[in-house]
Amino acid sequence: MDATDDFLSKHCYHLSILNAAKLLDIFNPVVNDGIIIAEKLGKGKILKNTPSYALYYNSNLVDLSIISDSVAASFFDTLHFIQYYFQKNEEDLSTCLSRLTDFF
Amino acid sequence: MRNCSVEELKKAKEAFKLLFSCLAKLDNIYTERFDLLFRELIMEGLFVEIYSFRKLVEADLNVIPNLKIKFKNANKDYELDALIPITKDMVIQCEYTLRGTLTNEKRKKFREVENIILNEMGLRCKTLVIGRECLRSFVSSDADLKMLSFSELSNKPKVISTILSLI
Repeated sequence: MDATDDFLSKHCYHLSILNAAKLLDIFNPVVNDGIIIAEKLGKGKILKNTPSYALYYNSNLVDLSIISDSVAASFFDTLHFIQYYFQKNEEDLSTCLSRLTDFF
Repeated sequence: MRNCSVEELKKAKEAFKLLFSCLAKLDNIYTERFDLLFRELIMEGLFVEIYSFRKLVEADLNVIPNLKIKFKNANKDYELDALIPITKDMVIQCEYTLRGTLTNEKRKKFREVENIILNEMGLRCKTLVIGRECLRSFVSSDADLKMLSFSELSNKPKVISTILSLI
């Protein structure tokens, strides 16, 4: 038993959470905002809210291969700019997207 | 923003065109949820979480993403971007951020989580911050923190050596 298994079994954390295939079996094709996995963790509790778990694992949904190593720094600088732009400009989504499309 | 070369900017723009194509694909699958997904992915940082999570997994780390920890003896919940069980008695909490600074409030939260995981679960906890290169000077001034930039996440030896330096 490795350290991870030990940790997970010790704290009753369900191993399938780490298993992408099983996870997608559970949540694909419908991503359900209402699903909450709750597992006791020692004296505390871990709650896993799952609006987007398929997005974490399913490379068809969010294809990160577009972000090559050489472009990662620029990409996340630009992502920060976009995030900042949306936070500063409380326009509706379509207007913001239109502006961004013009920009890019 | 840092200064980008023309070539870098061109690549970033290309990447964003593809990102929006990707969002449009999501829109086709989850029709009425596009605005919510966009908000989550871009505004609330889910895209950064997904990127960082997948890179850490590619470095052969077992990563528990996006979790909320509640403790009986704490008055509030703690939301973590990720938790990495690293040895039998140690975990690493990960914070992903696009921000260019690290606030005192954020540092305080790191310490609170480290202490509460030690006190409540008996596990040592260290903190890894993943962010843009401009954050490094803020992290390097704190001896208890380590940082990986988004570019470094693709460098498996660098990821592993940084993790090992926390142990």
